[in-house]
Amino acid sequence: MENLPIKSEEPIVSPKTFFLVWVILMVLTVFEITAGYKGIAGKDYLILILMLGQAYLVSFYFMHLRFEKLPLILSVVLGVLLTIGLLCALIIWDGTHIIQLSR
Amino acid sequence: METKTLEAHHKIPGFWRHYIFSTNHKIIGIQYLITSFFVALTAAGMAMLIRLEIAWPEHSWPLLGRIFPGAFPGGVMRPEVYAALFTMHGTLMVFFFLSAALVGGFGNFLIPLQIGADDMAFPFLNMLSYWVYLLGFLVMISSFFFSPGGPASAGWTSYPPLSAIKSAVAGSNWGQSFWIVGMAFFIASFTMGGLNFVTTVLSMRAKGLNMMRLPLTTWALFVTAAVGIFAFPALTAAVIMLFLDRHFGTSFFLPSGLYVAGKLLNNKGGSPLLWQHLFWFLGHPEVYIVMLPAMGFTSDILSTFCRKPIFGYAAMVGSILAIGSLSFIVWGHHMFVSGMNPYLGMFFDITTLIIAVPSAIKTFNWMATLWGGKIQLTTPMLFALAFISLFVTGGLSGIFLAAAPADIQLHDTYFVISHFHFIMAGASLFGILGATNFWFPKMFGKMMNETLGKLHFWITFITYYCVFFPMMFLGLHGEMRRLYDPIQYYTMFKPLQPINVFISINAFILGAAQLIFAFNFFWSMFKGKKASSNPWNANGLEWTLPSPPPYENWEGEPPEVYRWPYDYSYPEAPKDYLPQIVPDKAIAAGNF
Amino acid sequence: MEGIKKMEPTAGIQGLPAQNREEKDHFAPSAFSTNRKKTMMWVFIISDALLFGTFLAVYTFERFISPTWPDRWKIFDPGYLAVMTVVLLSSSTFMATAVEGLKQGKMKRFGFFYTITILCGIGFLGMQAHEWAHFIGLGARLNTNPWGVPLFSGLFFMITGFHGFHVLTGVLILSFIGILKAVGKVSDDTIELAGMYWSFVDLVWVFILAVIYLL
Repeated sequence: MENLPIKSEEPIVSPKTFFLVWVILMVLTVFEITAGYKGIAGKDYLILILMLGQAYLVSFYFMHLRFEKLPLILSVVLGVLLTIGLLCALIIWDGTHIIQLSR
Repeated sequence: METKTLEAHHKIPGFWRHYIFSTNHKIIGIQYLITSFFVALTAAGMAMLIRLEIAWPEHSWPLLGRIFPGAFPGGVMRPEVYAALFTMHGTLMVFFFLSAALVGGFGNFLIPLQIGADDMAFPFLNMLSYWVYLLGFLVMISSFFFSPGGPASAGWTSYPPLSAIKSAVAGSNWGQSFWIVGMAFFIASFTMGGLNFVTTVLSMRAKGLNMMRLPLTTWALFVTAAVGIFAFPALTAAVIMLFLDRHFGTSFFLPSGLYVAGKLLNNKGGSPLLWQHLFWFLGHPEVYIVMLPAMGFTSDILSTFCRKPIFGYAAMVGSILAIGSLSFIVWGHHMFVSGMNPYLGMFFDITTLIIAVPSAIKTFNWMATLWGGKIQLTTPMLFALAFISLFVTGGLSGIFLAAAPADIQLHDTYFVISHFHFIMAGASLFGILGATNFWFPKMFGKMMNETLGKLHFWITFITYYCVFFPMMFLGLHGEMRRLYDPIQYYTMFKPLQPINVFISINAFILGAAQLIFAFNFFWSMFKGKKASSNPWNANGLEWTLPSPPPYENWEGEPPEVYRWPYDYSYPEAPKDYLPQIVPDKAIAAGNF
Repeated sequence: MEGIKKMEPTAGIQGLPAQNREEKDHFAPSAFSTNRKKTMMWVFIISDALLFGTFLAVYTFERFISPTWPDRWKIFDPGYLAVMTVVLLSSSTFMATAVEGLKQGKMKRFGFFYTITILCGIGFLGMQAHEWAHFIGLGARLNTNPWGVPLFSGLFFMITGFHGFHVLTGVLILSFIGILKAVGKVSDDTIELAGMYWSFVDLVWVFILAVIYLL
């Protein structure tokens, strides 16, 4: 336990992987903007999913989150998503009341 | 060989770099502590003026009229001044005293010492944190002198529309802008400190010191720093939007149809509730930012002076984490009467009651630590015991306020004032005082005077209850907070006025008693009895160093840790304490 | 020899022995298993992400309580938006490739991709400036706009302005560090951290794109 190196050996990511990620990102972007522009049914959910997909790729590959230890991944991902998710959900829940009052 | 020569000598820098622009965590901690004590005296002085006004409303005090002719024309306090005073009292106390002293002061001083590190991870950032904090305080306090219309007067919560419309009241004009800038500095400072603390605790612990061997003080400070990192961005965003609302005509917090001085404002679409949400999204974790470190100090002090391991260490750590994370979903209990969605109120009601569980776990663990201990009633111990008392009083009154039906009656009355002065202000204050008495020998190498300490403690403790407990009755009778003149317009409060007089007299004694502490602090710093390296026979790593510790604590030779810091009255040990650096082999061989 | 190599001070915090030491020699393993600069960068990113998160939560809230909200496609051009996104996402890819090249000691690849990263950043800033000019030209101000929802333009300026400010900071930091690297005065760690910051700015854009423009 004590002798574990503090910096784990970081795996080397080849430019090919980055290129592949880039291609997927481009595809997602095109889909996302098209969905937003065309206004297809259920576009909001689609956009949110595509957004999360892009965010996953950027943070896990470009920011190297994928190669970090689980505690760090959990603190960052869950920490940020839960905090903002809760803030968003609760103030919007309150917003439903404000709308009713203004009617 | 080269290794040794390269790391051996780090010279102590000259006067300016050592005492003023220091990057050393101990100096920064002491700078923070002394600055925040100064802030506390300033803000306590404001509280005295507030109490003077409440007990004898609109009475003329010729002396004050002569000292502050602008604020007390003819010796009578102007209402605007009263509003400014309670605003600045709250802001300075909560952010610039309690948070700064607990996190900036003790956090800086204790974290590296307790984890066996030579300094913080980023010393320069640490120095910056202090100076930005000082700048923030200077901006805040300068609004008394340089702001046309006086300092901010929308309360420490700065609710819009009062704070968002420049022409609303005198203090909304320039004072509120000073407040925003001061808060921005404070947030920047706290974030820099928080980054440092989290990183330091995560990556600079001495060998063998895993997370479950950390003293509870360090645990609490670590979680506090993390809570700050997660909570302050919401206030940053809110403060930026408030600034835009005030100076650039946006209406993030301003609904349509507002009339000010008979003129319709052309703001449209915003909601003042949004500010309340964002403010309390920080504001409630902030309460725990000032509570958690005090809880940590209390745990360590209790264990040391009971000569007993802390009861339920894992449960204590668990409840620190639980309180830290639950604190993010209870903010709405400040908004039960704000017109918030009633169903949301129910949600916050339940979460708030849930947070009482980890708090109760901590209280019972402290009780269990006391049980059967060899209690030594030193000054720090008295403060720690008083902390528990205040915590319980404040916590039980909190249950009333957590329940929405009761809160609707009690909201914005003196009951609330009483509640948070017990639990947040009082308990943290007693935590700070106890910790100062406890770690003073480590800070300055001198002991604080016990007689003066006990005198200070008893006066403070008794008058604290005399000041804040009667406020509960005022609150139950419906007397509102922030009233400039509680009897002239609200004649039903006239019979209660003697209580207010009683409170004020006690408040003056309480305020004066703090001068004993200030005297003791500075007198002991120079004239106190010399302290040994471990005057309390405590176990923590900081007590293995000389008092005061060398410039670089372990000078490149960090200790190795073999146990948790609570091995008091360990059966096989020759003494009733067992420092963290003693290996089991050494006990068996008896060479300790 | 080994000893000397170990003692090389990391850039930025020279002169303090505590930092010069190899961390694993004396310390318990970090819970995050990263070096401390990277840990701090992550904590900073969390804090900054929450700031943007709060802004976007505010946007969602204000939009939710507003009876109407302007149709974004009458204001912005989807093609232009797509190009902006592509430029920023690509620059992030280039940055990651550059950092990877640096780690493997392939300096030529590093120099090439690093330069394009900065150019892409400047390109994005230019495009954003043009978009703002277009938006202002339509009559949008912080406190008013022709679409009847003054909050929309206020929020738009605030959020994209903040993001643009981060991009600008990123470009300045990258340029500064690039110059330092050219004269050999900066460690690889620092460049890696700058890369993380740059990708973070990109990450924020992903959310801004979806929440402000598309939803």
